[in-house]
Amino acid sequence: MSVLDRSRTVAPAGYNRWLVPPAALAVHLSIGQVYALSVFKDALRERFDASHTAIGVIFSISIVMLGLSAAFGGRWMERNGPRKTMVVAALAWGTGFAIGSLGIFSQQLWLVYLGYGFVGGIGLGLGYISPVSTLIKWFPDRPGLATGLAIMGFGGGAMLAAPLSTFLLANLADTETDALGPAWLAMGGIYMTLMLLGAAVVRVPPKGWKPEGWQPKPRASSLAATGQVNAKNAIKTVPFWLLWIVLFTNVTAGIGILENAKPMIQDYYPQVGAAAAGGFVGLLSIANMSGRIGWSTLSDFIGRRWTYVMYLGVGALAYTTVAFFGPKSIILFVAVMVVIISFYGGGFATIPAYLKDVFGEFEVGAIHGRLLTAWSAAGIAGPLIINSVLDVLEGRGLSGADLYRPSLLVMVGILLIGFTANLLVRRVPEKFHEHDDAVPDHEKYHDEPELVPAGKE
Amino acid sequence: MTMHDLTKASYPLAWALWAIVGTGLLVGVSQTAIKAAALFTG
Repeated sequence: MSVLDRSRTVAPAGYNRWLVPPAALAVHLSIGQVYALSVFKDALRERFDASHTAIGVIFSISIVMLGLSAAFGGRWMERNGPRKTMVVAALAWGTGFAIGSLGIFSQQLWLVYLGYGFVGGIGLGLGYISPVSTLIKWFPDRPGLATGLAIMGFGGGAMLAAPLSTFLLANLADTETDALGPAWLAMGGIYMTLMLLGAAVVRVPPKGWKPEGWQPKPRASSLAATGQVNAKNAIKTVPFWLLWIVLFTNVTAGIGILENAKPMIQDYYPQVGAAAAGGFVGLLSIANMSGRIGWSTLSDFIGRRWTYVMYLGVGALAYTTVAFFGPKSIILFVAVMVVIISFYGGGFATIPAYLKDVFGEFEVGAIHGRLLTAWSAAGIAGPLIINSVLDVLEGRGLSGADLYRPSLLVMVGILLIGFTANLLVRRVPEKFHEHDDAVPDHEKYHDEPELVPAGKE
Repeated sequence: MTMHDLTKASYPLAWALWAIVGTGLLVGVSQTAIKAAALFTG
């Protein structure tokens, strides 16, 4: 299996770096399917005669496993390289669907938890982190663009998965419930193939590679790394935990909205039908994806700290606007929600570049993996806050926009905590820096070719 | 399969993958935009 080794993925001199992003997109568009799991919800409930909560556990397990496998698999990924990681992610994601379909055929819900949730969740985590550090190395001149390219597909995955799932459910059997098992088998096969194509294409730059004519800028900002920090030391620093809070608050606010987008627009505007509400959810998926590439690219020009000032500060104003003025105009409501979700996506895509600024690129992939535990925590906190407030207010007889105002104002408070944490991020103390001659694990174990050719733009 | 063969094979494959994911994104965005237009047209 040496073809999967990191040393076998080193690009030859003159390799066009723009041939690498489709590998990231193939992997992330595949694993982004997890955001469209709700398409199967009704059929799953009918198949297993189960409650909303019992079916919701499938999503929760997969997101928790995403965070855990990204956290614990980060250093393994750095050591073994993106190709091997993508292949393992593809096998886990495809096998997860296959085991899940076995559970559907045999009506064993625990097999769906084990397959899609546990095994598939490992594929999610490893797939998510696999292209990030590779693209940062290919685009040292534009780290925000690099991480935007790496992660944008995850936001768009649901946009492709939703119509694909609907098509398969309608065409593989007489009823959606009977089509569920074959549909999951087919989707596992399709996604595994696409991810393996990504693994075949991915390349890492030769050691010391840099774009033609580009020179690193002298470190000018108050938080830019003056040395390299390894993953074990990074989690001992205050900036790591401040950035954890930044990601946690940004995701907590956005995920609660995303989960409730469809009922929310129909509560604000009862005249909006099911099809138009579905269109609104799709529009938010585009905003999520566009925010990842757009805002993250902007961060290369205005700096990472100011980008998060925008996500969290303007974001807090946007939530306040929806809370008080959302019911006044549907155009205003939709426009502000698009901005909110674009900030949500942008927050995910800009964080690896922020980590690279603060800790250097030494083990940025592994550090990013550990920071993603904030996503797992937010995946529980965000929906819990919105749904528990909704339950209480519905119990008091409230309806429409009044149901959401308190939750939105809670989110404003959460965003302001993140806003403050972002302003407190400082340069990492020198005691955590690596020695000048230190090399990351992945370079210790492999004899990589060292050359400094001019790369194509 | 040698390293040279793999390198040669990965160029057209990478462009093909660009075409696949690019087409998927274009179709997805345009279809979604058409559905979302119903929000404002009733």
